Amino acid sequence: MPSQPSRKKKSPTRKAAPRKAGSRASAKPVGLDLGTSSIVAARQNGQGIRSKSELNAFLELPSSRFTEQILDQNQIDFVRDNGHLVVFGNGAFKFANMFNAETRRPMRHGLVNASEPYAQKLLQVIVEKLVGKPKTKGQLLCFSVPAPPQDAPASLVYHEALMKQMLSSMGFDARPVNEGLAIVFSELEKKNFSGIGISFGGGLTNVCLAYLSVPVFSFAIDKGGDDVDEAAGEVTGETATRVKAIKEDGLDLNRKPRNKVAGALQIYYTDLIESVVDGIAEALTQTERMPKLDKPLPVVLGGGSAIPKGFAERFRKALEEKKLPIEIASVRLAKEPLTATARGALLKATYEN
Amino acid sequence: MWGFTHLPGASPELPHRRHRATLDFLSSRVMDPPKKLWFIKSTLTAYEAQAELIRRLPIVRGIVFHFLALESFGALARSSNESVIDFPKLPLRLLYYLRHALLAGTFAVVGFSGYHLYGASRTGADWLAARLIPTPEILSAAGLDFHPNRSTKAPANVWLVTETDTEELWSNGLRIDTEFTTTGKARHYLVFPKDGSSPIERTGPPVGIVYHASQNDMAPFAEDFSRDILDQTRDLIGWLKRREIYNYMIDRFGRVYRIVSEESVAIHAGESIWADEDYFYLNLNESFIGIAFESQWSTDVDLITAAQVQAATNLTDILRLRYGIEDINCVPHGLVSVNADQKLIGYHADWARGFPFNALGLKNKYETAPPSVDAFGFGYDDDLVDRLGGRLWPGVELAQAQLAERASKETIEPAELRARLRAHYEDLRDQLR
Repeated sequence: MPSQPSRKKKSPTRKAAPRKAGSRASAKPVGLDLGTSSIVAARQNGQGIRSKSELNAFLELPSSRFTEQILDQNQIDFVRDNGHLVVFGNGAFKFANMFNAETRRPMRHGLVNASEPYAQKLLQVIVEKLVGKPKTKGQLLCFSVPAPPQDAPASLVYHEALMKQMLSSMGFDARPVNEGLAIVFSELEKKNFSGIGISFGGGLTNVCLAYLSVPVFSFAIDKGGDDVDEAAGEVTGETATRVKAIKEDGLDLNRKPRNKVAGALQIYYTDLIESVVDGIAEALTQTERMPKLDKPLPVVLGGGSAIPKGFAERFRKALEEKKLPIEIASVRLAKEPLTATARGALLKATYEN
Repeated sequence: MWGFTHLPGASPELPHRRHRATLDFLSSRVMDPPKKLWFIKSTLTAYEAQAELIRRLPIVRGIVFHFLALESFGALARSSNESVIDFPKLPLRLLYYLRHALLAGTFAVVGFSGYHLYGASRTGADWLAARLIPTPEILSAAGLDFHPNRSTKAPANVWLVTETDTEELWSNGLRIDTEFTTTGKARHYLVFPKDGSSPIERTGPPVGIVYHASQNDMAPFAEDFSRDILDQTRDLIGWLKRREIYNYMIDRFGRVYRIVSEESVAIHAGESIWADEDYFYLNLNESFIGIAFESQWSTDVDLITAAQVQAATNLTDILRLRYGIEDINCVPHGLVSVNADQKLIGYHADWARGFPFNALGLKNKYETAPPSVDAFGFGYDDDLVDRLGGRLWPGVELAQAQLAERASKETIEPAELRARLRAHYEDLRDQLR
């Protein structure tokens, strides 16, 4: 069987029809969500998708034989650097909690943290741990990027080029995909890739309105889960890491807060939601080429910061209160909010493969 | 907040609304997500690769788009081992194998039947039909001169004669359809005194009028298309009402619809700047009434009817009298719309040329220096010049000359003065937040 349909005349800009499953002995493509808070990789696994994640954080410890032993015993990943031990990934969070210390981040507000000397090296180490070496040279990998910042669009260009360079040096054919669009790809297939995808990440929130897979507008808000944690920590005197732990221990935004931290978290979550809804309203009025929509659009929320109970409900109410010039069909949480972006990137990679 | 952007990379443009519906329908039949994405992207990219002329000709673009969609759909079906397409196999195969014959046949039928078939098969307006079908009632707005000697003062006396639940009759003959009226947020806005004193908060009546073009689909203005014209107006009214856009809309037969009550804020002017003798007005939704002509404004075709001009004249008279609106504050959208972040004028350009000031008894605002340039140092880009057919309205030139003169008096570079004015604008803008 031929690997592609025999079409006598093809427009030069036209792509060949998608290949049949198993028709090419190439390695399976990879979707990678390079988030401020965590890095998630997704691959096709039989009929399903397998995803793995690591926290995008690290902790620097003074080197000692004793510390190394503890790390080895607990199977915590680390690298040695200039007389220090750098604990990274999920282990860093575990360790930071144990010693009430703050982790550091290779990325900040969705981009490589320029003021962090370990940033690039650790990103590569974490990505290598998740995706390994490419099975074949030029194995396709789509990685997520945020929307460009208005005041410094060049910083995204730098970030994107740096990530592409890093992934290419590992042997991948790396291609970027907008984070919000990736949510649309992974969650709105039944709606023919039409709707609003929002990724509530650690460093920022990315929004993309797409119609039939074509992005109409995209923007990012310089607020994310980290800001919520930091702000709540600041007013309650807790570390952000501890606030994060409390948050993940069953915060419910629809219930009366049980303690001071939960109360502060509710306040900052409300602020985050309102900022995003305001941003959507502004984008809808400012976008010149907004298509006339024949049907209401669904909204899907992804990312770790959208996980608290009652988040989607609050978001829906905020959208209802803000009269938007488009109709919203529904607001729902992604099936797997933490992996939605990576799965969307994987879909794009599969399509482009 | 970060900027709103179209995403980087080669994102194809969305096709016409009806073609999107076809694509949506066919996409729903593709069961596998990556293949569905391939089908959509492949069709859109192939369509975009066609010559612009093809994409502009209504019938031709429809045929070509459907051919390309069918080609992608068939290619997808042929390339898949498993059944990824929920569509009867035999008809699909027939359609795919006969696609070239179908394409040729369709073009032949269309060519033979001429524009009668075209008119029957479409409901929308288009570029070609507007030229093929005689449209004696369509006037060039630029040439309108109904009342050359009319005073620019508001008339002394116009009154509401009678009203029902669905209509108002005014003494100048204007009937206002109020059946679709909705109310929104009450007016509440800041005006900025030109002497630099503190802004004044107002909750009262509007101070001005902004005239718009609705820019919706337009059937040719001819008898054969009466039904289509009425359908388009009905769709437009529903759409405007749901989104609370414009206070008034004037359809192509000169009927006036109140969409959002005058006391309420309608969405119509977005980021915008205007000024009269005493005050600057920013973001005019709150302070100005929005009136839209149901029309497709462009620099070469001004689709506006005599009935619309007459209705706009009467409506302007009523509103000016009722709210004491000064002539200076009656202005078309293209002259007030700005891109506030990039400090550019003409973000929306509707009626930035060819507005029938004279017919409406208004002074020609094209001769007035726009305050966005004059007072706040805004500029323009080549895109605006292109959109306006190569030349901006004279007021822009005047404003720039005034700006240069002022800079020379202050012995500074115009760029420095402009930067200072823009900073002043940002200060005022901040106060609106």
